[in-house]
Amino acid sequence: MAIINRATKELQLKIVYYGPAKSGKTTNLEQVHAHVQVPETTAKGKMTSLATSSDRTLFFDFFPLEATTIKGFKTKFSLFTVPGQVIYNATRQIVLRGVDGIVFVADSQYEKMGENIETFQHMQDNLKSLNIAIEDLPYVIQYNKRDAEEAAPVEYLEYVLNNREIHVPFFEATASKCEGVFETLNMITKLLIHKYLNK
Amino acid sequence: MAFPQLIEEDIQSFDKVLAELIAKSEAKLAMIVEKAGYLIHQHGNAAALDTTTLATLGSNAYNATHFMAQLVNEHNFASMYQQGEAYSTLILNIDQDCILVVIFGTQQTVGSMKYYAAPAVKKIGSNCRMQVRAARLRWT
Repeated sequence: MAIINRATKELQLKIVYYGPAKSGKTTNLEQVHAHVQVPETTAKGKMTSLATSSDRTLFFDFFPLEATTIKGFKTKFSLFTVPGQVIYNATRQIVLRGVDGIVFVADSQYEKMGENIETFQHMQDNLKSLNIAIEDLPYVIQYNKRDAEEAAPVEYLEYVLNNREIHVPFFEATASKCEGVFETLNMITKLLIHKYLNK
Repeated sequence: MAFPQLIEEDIQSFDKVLAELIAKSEAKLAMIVEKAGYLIHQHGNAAALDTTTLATLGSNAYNATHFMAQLVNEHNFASMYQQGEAYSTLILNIDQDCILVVIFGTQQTVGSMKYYAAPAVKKIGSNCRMQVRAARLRWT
């Protein structure tokens, strides 16, 4: 949950990139870290990755990012990824603790549709175990790997993954080329700032 | 809408307790960290340390070890300790939202750290606890 520090005039928010294995969560964070424009170098923290020897996320990737000052308050985002592999579900629950917003990174390829659906369901279950209802949490969906030969049409992905009572913003992306990465991040930060500044 | 907000008095209380802890225990650094990974307040010598990352790793390590303890039906989990060659780290539970992370030189013992940290944890937990304030935000 977000923390407002009135003494230091800071608003701290946690964003988690969630999705199936190899859907591009870490790539999203790496691209943001490599290309984000910040006024001062101190605004962008170091990227920390707790990965296996084969470079798969074991616990999480993390990097802190300081955004513009709004209404006198400095906004600090903590960006996290969860491990995609199903065996690490307990770890995903731990990383989700205190989450304020989610970017669900789906793999656009037809053969990954089952994994997308299953991971989304796991995410809802994990949130439920933390007493968070998905309906109450700002989230966006990113359809990644749009450059893949077997990429399903967006209309199909929308029907499969974004067909709930609340239709959330979605973005097409090819994270490896940094396409759609910042559009996704901008939207989730916008939703969060709107939620906390206008309440 | 209610959510945690910290005001100047909270930070002053945190600082007083942590300063006392550092003075008595001779620890290098003490941090109050929210369990989602946010660094709330720190006191001591943080030179050359990335305290933001340290706080995030500390909270997640604590949460993971707590989870692990629960899996073996160990429900009394209140602290964890990492022994180093030059500096060691002691993490103590404050309440359901926060932990205390203490970094100290190996010339000090973990026993003495626990001795001095226990009253600090109690004070933070009872007097200086981060409060969920129902008041709406007033942006000035």
